[in-house]
Amino acid sequence: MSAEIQQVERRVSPKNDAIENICKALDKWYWAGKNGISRDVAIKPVRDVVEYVCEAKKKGLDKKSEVAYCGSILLYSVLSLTGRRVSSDVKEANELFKAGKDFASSIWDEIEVKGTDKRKCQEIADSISSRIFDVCRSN
Amino acid sequence: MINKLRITILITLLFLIPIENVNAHVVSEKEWLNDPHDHGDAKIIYLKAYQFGYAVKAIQEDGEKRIFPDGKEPSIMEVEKGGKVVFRIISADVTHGFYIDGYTPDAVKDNKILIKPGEIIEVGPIFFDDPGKFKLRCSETCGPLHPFMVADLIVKPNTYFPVLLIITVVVSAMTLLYVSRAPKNKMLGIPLDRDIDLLKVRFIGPILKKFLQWRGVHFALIVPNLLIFMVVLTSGFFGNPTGNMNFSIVIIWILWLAAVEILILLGARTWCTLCPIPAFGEWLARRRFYGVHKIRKWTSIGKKWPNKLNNMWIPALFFLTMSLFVPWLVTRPVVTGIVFGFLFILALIIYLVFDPKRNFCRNICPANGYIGYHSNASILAVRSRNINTCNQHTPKECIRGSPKGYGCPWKLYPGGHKENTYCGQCYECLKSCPLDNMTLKLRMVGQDLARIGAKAKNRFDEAYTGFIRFTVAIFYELVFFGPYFWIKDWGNMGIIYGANLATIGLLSPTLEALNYWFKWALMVAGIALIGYPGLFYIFSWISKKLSGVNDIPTKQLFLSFSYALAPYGIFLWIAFAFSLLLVNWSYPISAISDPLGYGWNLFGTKFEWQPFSPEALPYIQTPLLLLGLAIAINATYNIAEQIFNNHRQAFRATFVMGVLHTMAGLVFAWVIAG
Ligand code: SF4
Ligand SMILES: [Cu+2]
Repeated sequence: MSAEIQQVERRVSPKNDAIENICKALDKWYWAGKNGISRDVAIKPVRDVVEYVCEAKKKGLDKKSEVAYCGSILLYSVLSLTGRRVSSDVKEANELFKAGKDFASSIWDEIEVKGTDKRKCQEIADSISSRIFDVCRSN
Repeated sequence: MINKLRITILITLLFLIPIENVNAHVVSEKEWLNDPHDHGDAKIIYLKAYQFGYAVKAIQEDGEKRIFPDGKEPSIMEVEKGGKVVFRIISADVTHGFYIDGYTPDAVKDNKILIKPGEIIEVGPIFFDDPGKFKLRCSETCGPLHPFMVADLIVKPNTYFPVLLIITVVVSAMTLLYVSRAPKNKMLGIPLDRDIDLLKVRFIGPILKKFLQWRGVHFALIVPNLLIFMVVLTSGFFGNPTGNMNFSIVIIWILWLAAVEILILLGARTWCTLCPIPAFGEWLARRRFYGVHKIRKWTSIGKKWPNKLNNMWIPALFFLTMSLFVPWLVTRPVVTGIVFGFLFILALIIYLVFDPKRNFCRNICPANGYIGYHSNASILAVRSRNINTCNQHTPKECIRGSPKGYGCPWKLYPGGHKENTYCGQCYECLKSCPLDNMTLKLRMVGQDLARIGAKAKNRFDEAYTGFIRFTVAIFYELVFFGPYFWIKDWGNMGIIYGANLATIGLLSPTLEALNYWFKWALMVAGIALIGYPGLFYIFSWISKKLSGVNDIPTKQLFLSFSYALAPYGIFLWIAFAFSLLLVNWSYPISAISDPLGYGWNLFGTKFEWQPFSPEALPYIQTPLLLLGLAIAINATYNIAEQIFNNHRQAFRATFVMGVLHTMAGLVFAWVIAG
């Protein structure tokens, strides 16, 4: 495991508010009533966010606007995984957005990527999201 | 030299007098004026066609001949109903044509009347049995101002004119009577708080929604227009220098201009959905033709757009400047080419330098200003379905963007839209909103005007956009399709030829040309910037006095009431658009087959100029005028009611402003029928 990934994973603990919230939000709006789904599918929204943060950092984008965008990424990821184009519940849109945003914000500074290696971000995303899945499940 | 120029300008200022244009010598003039034929009881009109007008040199009636050595000014001919007229015509310069609206018999239509230099042409006797005002038009391309070579023929009694004046007054009186009964939030009886969610209409709604939410929609609509504009630029620079034989002129200044005016009323800023001018910048900045970029990185320096430019001043003044050169712009392809080429390049540069949003569109484009201003009078609007949902929705993807759509490129908060001014209808919010809360609404003209008008503070930019557009609409109708050749000559700088940039005279104008242009510019700018706004201010002051509101400054009323010109102006522009379309519709269709004016006929759509019932024009324009007037009065009332919150005061103010609107209506009635 690379140094960067280790560094981030240190923050991935149930005590971290952002992680706790994303677990709750996903549980409420996505996992609830979906017992049969695979680990990969279940954690895809988180994976999408981590990958975006990683790519955005690689491109040197601005943290403030991009972590907010990650909120939308989480929401849209859940929407598409639940076979919807749009949500009909403002609460859902708000909560998933906030969870994604806070989560992205909490990992933003931890992720350090350099170079143009395409697979790097995917690796980081895989690793972090599966850790988070474990953390969520352990609750 | 400079001194001479100064003196000329000074003298010009002092004596704004018409200039005699007709001076070319024709060999057969004597022969022409001494008609050897006996035409019985027919009236004989001796017409001299020249670039660009018809000079009435003599009229012979009951054996008596009145001579006008300098040509009759304005060029208006009169005939009694039932009278017979023979037109005896020569040309002073090049080959011209002859056409009378509604009176050119079919046989002649197919075989058009040509007036060649050195020949005497006799047309008639024509039996005038239908009273009214008719236009004489040149039917043979004779130079840049050919499409505006128009004279008036009045078959007396022209009862339609006084009737129209009376109808105009009656309509405004009825509207005033209507608002005197304190209709709350209504426009001519139709409630303004109701609208139709177009995306929920049966059958068409879902299809429209699918279409607008499809990411490729914008691209698909822009590309054909981009191709057309590329042909426009090519023909502007390399095509036939005669305007009406050139794709750029006839597509832009007949088809596009007219279509946009009509589109504004029916579709608000739908043109901006289709417009290719900012496309290069947008595509480049996004690095995408239509998809949403996955990582939000833009190709742009991303400087902040200066706040000072965040208004409609540049568009308004840009539009006015174009109006000052309009006789050039609409008749010399190269000028059109330069202007549009410039807009394309400027849009691209602004995209690359500033934050990659629609800064060019919002704050530079001359069309944006008026399209946006009048869009508030449109029946179409992009709005949220439920404003409460938006209020509760904190992420607001419509502003910041989502994986499905960009954040509003027009720098607005779409969910909270209450006016159309700056909504470019790119439909990104329909895609980016995760709650499906954005839609397209159909509503009555003037839904937002009361609110916009009442809150207008220091929006002189928007007020002036209204004044410029309103006055120019009436002015264009009068100048381009009227019998006052001296005004046309002023605007045209008295220059007949002009094949390319070097010879059109714009780069090296003569003193005389400058003199002419100066008068034109002074007149247009004077009316638009001082004359009419001044009158408007005076009426606003009277309305304040008469309604007895002392705590609201006249300036506020002036600004607020000016928004009534949004609907009024657009209706008059549509009326003008009909003059363009009915008379000149054949040019754009012909130009498709011969875009460069080289004499090709690529698709077989080329045919002779053929107006479509131009004699019906006044009757088509009348309802547009009356509707515009009534809506303007009702809108004024709604604005006043919103400001004063008192029916009596609002009504009194409306009455005063209604008088001004009626006066403007009467002027327009005179232009189209008098
Ligand atoms: S339009 Fe949609 S994204 Fe914008 S505030 Fe309203 S609900 Fe939110
Ligand atoms: Cu002519």
